[in-house]
Amino acid sequence: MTMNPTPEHPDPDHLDDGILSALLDGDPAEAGPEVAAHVAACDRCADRRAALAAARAALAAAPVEPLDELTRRRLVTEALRTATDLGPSPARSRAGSSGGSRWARRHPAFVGSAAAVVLAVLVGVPFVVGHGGSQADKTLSAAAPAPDTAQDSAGRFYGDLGDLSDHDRLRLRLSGTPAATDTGSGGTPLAEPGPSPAAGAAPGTPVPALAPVAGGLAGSSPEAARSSSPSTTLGFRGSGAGSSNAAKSAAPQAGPANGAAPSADAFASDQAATRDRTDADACVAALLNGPARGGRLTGSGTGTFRGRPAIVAAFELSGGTVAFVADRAGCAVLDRFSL
Amino acid sequence: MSRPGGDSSDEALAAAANAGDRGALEVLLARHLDRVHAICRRVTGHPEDALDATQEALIAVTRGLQRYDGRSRFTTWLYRVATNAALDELRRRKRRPEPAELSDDRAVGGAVGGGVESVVAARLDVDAALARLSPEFRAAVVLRDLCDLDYAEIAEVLDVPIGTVRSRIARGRAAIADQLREPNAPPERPTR
Repeated sequence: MTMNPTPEHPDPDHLDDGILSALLDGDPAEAGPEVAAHVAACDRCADRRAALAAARAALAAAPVEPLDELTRRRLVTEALRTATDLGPSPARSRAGSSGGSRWARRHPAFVGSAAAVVLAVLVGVPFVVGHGGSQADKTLSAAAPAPDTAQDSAGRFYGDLGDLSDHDRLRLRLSGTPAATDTGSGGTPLAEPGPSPAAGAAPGTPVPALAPVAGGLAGSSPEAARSSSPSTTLGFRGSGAGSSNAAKSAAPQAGPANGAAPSADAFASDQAATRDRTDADACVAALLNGPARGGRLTGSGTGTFRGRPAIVAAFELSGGTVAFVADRAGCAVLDRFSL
Repeated sequence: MSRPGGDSSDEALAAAANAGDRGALEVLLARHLDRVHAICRRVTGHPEDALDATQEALIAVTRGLQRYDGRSRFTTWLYRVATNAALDELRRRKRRPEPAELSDDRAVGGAVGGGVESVVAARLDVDAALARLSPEFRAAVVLRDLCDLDYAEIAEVLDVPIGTVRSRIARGRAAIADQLREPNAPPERPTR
């Protein structure tokens, strides 16, 4: 038995905190039977052991503020959104070795936009060449809508739809009918970044290696991105660019790719779009667990309802397609109507 | 209350997630979200920093899951990610967590007295006591007393020798005990 004098326990006739703490944890390397025997016979050491045990119990029993359901959903949804390089192992290995950059994974909108532009060029240039310059306008109009028409089992995300109390306007937008006369605040529909887990993506659904999302700039500089402090966190406190230790312990981070620098506004727009989508997904999930149970999501978006930030989501239900307007903060249903 | 994912083990879910099963990944994250948040909350000492750290940890898990090789418990790997995320968050903020304000009528000894204490008082006491520890000591104590990891697992999580873990836990606990008894005592500092 070691009787080490310490500043707290200068008396070598008594056990130090290290031994008493080890005794609490049942660590035989430091606290054998002779230690227990000493504590049983020594009031001072027994008192100190009791104090350490109380500290341990206080920490174990002290509650942590519980996370509300919406925050839980947002945390998980945001993390899943970054899983763009998850998939069958071979594909994932390629993504890792080919340097799928951290920045690119955090900003799929820009990568997706670049991909969309490349696709438009690949499709459009031959068409223009083949049909003459006079067809250029038609070519562009044919190529550009591709992201708008993207739709998957999780439904289309329309972005900002403006006033969500305007049923007629929402019917036009959510039913998929082009709102040619609608020049309000309704934004360009965003293509899906992948099956939405919050919207009930089925287990076993592989995550696409690269998910196009409209709304960003074509080409971008990760250096500029970092300098603008982009973050995929939910902005609880304006989080920084990432956690080096967490990343180091969890995932290799590949270097960024080169490209043109997007503006700070574009990043802000990207982050706003991400938040919009995250909030919409969270409420869609809540609706699917509530009034829209059993339904199939056909479309969703954000906006305001009588001055309150809200989301709208349309579901195919047994009785027809129904749109729900929900409070963005808590997903409480504010309005519902048939499409 | 049943846990997310039913009886599927963490390791099985991790393997499924690594094979591309997004649903398994979602279950895994949801299952451990509260514990990850608790670690981040205790280590950062601040609710909002804890949320940011929790988000970073979940993202790190999502991106780095393929590096989990199954040789240790999934939770050991997970707690390592969470702890590092929390420590990173502290470094990023470049500040130590501020001790929570103690209520004037808090009994000396607070939650360690073993009597009937209010939930709020207990939380404030522990927050204040932990806030006076250096992050390295705090992490060791939290992993032991909140997550119930053994010394070897904590050594793996913190990447330090077991002797260092033992020392940090002992000194951290002693400091907490003293702080809870005498809130104005000088803070503990790591020596190694």
